[in-house]
Amino acid sequence: MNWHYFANPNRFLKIYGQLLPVIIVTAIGTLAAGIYYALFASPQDYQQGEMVRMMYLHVPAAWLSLMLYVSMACCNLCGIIWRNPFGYLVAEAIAPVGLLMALICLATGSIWGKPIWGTWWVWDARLTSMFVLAVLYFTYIIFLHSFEHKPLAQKFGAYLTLIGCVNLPIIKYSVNWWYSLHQPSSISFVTGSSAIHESMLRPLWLMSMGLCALIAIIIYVRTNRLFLQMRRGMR
Amino acid sequence: MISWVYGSYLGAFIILMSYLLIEVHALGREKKDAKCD
Repeated sequence: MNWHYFANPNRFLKIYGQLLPVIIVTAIGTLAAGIYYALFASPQDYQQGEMVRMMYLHVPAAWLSLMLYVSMACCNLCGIIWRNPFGYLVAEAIAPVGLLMALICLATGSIWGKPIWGTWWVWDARLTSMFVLAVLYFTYIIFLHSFEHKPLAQKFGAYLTLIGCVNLPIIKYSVNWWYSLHQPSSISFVTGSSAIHESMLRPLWLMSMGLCALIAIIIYVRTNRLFLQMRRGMR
Repeated sequence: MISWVYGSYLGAFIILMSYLLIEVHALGREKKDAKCD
C-alpha cells in the first residue's frame, strides 16, 4: 500500500469526509448500545457491585489515550522524516483529544479507586505513568503555542512526543514490573486471551468502538479547521 | 455509589460533545472566513 497517497491533505480529507457518514452512524449505534449494556444490561461484579460499570468508560479511555499518543507520534515522525507539514498538523489535531481521554481515564480511575481501594489517588507506577502521559500531552500543546515561529514549535513538539514514547511501555508493563495497587491487564491483545466474562466484554468493546468513532469525528473536524487555517496563511 | 458512575458517564459525554460542538462551530466560522477572503 502506498501511504504517500494519503499524505496529500486534500485527498486525505476527501477520503476521510467520504467515510464520515459511516463513522457517525457507527458512533451513534455503538455508543447507544454500549451505554445500555454498560449501565443496565451487564451484570454486577460479585466483589465490586455496581462500581464495576466504571470499567466500561475507564478502560476505553485509557486504551484510546495510548492509541492517540502512538498516532500523534507517528504523524510527527512522518513530519520529521518527509518534512510534510500535514503530519504535524494531524498530530496537532489529535493532541487535545488525547489529553481529554487521559484526563477522563485519570478522573474515572480516581472515582473508581475511592470505594474499591479506599483512596482517590496513590503515586504507584501505573497511576503515575498515566499522569505523566497527560502531562506530555499538555506540554506538547503548550509547546505548540509558545513559539512565534510555528514550524519550529512543531519540530520541537515532534521531538518531545517521540521522546515521550518511552513512557508507553512503562504504562503497559508497570503493573507487571512493580508491585502496584492497580490490577494487572485482564485482556491481552497479543495472545487474544481475556479473563473477563463475555457479558462484560460486550459493553467494553461497544464503548471502545463508540468512543473511537466519536474521537474520529472530532479529529476530522479539527484537522479540517487547522488545514483551512494553514491554507489561509494564519499558521 | 451508582450515582458516581452515572455522573462520570454524563460528565465524560458532556465534555466530549461540548468539545465536538465547539470544534464544529469553529470550523463553520473558518469556512465562512475563507469564503470572505
